[in-house]
Amino acid sequence: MEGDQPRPTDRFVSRRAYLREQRERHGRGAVAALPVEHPRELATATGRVTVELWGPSGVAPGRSQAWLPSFACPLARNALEWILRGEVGAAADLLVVPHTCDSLQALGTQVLDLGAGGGLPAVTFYHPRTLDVPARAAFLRDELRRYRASLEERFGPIDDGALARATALHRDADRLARRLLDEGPREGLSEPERFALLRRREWLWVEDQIAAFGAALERPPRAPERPGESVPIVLSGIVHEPPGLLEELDRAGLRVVVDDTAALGRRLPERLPPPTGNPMEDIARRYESLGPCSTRTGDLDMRVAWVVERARRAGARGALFVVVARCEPELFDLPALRAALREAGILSAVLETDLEATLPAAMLTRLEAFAESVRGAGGGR
Amino acid sequence: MRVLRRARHRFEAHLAGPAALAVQSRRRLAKLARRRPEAPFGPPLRASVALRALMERYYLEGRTADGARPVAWITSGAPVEVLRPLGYYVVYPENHAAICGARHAAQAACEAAERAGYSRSLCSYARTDLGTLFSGKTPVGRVPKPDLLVCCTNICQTVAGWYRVLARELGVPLVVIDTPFLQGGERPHHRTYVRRQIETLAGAAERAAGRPLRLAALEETLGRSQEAAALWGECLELGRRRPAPWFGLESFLLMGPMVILRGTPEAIRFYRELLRELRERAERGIGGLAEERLRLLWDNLPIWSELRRLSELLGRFGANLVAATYTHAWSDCADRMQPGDPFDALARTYLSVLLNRDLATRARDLAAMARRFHADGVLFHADRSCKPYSLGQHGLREKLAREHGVPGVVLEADHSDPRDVAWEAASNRLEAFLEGLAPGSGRR
Repeated sequence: MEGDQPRPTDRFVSRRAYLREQRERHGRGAVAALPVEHPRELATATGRVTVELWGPSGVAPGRSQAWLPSFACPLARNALEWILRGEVGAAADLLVVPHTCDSLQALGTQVLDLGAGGGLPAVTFYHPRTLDVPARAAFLRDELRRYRASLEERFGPIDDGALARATALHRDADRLARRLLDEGPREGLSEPERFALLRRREWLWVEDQIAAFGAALERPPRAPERPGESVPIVLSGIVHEPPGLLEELDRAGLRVVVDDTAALGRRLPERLPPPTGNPMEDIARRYESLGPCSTRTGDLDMRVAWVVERARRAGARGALFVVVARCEPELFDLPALRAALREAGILSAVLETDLEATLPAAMLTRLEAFAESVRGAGGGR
Repeated sequence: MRVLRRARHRFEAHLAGPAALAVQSRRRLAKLARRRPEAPFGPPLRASVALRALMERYYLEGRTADGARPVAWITSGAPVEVLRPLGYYVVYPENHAAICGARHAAQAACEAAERAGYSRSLCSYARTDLGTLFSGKTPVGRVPKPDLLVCCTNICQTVAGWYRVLARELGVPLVVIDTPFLQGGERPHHRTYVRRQIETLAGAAERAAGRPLRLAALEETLGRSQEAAALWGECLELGRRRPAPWFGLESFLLMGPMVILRGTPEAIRFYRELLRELRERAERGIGGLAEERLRLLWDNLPIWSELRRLSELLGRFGANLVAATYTHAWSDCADRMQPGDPFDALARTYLSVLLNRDLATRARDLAAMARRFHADGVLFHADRSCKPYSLGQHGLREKLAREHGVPGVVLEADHSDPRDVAWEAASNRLEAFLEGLAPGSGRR
């Protein structure tokens, strides 16, 4: 399930070919999921690969224009376009719509109620957003049970043993992905490749994730850089798009030392809670252990402190926010985050993407200007 | 200090202010009685004078409220009934932003927020609110600082982002009442979740107010909300008459007390009086338009900055907005506000508001509304600032036309920021639609 343009970092295998192989060789169907977070363990327990729809980038709007106003967020727009073209239905048995924001909620109800998906079946998952911790905890568990029931309604009963295995596998994948993210560059793996590999969590079968991350971790850590060779930064925002962004960061001498993107860093628990023996409870606890994210709301002070503390700890000299255009949850947080980073002596910049096929020239210019500023501020190369 | 503030508040908000406003209202009523109807509109509503007085008094009361009584800032769809018995003065930032929009003060406020780093893509109500907070400039004089923030996600998730910014800026406690989106209808755990949160709100509100919430007082307030909603519903039902006794765009203004004074005796008095006047007009065949040639529905918030031009354009075509999903949303809660278990009634009410329901429900409701109000067409305002209302309207329009033969047009604009209203394009589109419904009618 790729965009129209080949992606420079997709040098291993294509998603479409991978999903076909999964179906043909392993009899595994697929579940397509909209961003950001959803209980993927349950889909795995049904024997299906989860493939996430972060757009995709570079899809020219066509049929979706008959469904959405011009100001719809590009992520919802591209996803709907992909659905309407039949790409999602061809690859997946079901669409999972997590309640991430108003735009994705609206997309879900259009698919379910107005036929925007051309009959593509869909289920929803609601993220609790209250600050009332006991109410939130109780609801999360109830909602997980409801979500499980909605999958069972479609795919048949989910075996407890299969769910326990899926939960354990995802624990391993989480742990390895977190290590691969936190431990930094590896020999023989460029930084864009390391991040592209990590983003394969979005579509690889969980055991393949474990194998891929494990293999990458077997490579020795890259030798420490000479001082000033690159500038450490925080990469925040929604997703590492459009294609080519990570390569340009690399070319500009910017090294991501903290990933706070919704697509990656915010979805990997820093510390996994110990298993309880009850997989449904483990799924809930894992969810509760995730760091703060604008799409799951929570307390803004906490999110600001979280980002600033990690930036300081990693010695970041800059912070780059890559925001999908018109993404309200993320845009509300930016002024507070940027002000706090400024106070901590960390420069920041915002790149807004319309999920284009390639990095637009204006975005590249802003990125270069940011790179020059952070190099100048810290005496880097 | 607090005693002095209370005394000042009591004097200005409850004695001198109301007395001055009463004199002003009498003058306005006399002026209104002398005024001839402005073609193509029917005679103006007397209730518009009462509305103005009510709104002025409400904002006047706010100017001196902080320090004199507890103050909460709250979203329009939040369970305000919990706060009223505790003596809160309640600020509705959305209503305040709408006033800024109608008085052409929204752009400056939005720009102030944008200078502080808030993107122009964000909801213009939020930007207006944050902008007035940063600049201190508001057409209502002064907005009191809150002791508590209450945000309910039943209208959008935008408010969650917006209020957590307010909580950080103002350094006051925030209570989020999170209402799961009712895709496919309500489920038991939805209600339990919302009820728990409302109970938590009650505790937080008690702490901030320094006094306990009496259950009997909560029930009484809920009863008042129910009565006002039912009265407002009766007013709206009169739009079924031919001609409709009011010009539909007025209803966007007349719903103001339903938002900001829900749960108070003032709201009940106002809607009783409005209902009496509308019935009287309906019986005498007085319409909001002198000649009603087209009957339309409106979907979404109004375009506050363009109410006048929109009224003139519609009036020219003899087109009345006989019903609007937005105004009706404030009356259909009456059935759910049943006494007995007030927390359950509040959970049920605030969980099921229009924007928290799926498009299957909205499509059904819209079709029923078109049938009941004998609508010739629907105007869908695709509002840049309201994603949950707007994303889905294209499909609704198509479904309504295909399955019920009711045509519609989508107009892209914004409820508050005039920079996002391309009036020429919108009016051209609207004129073409109206011409299609009633050829030649706009040329008169």
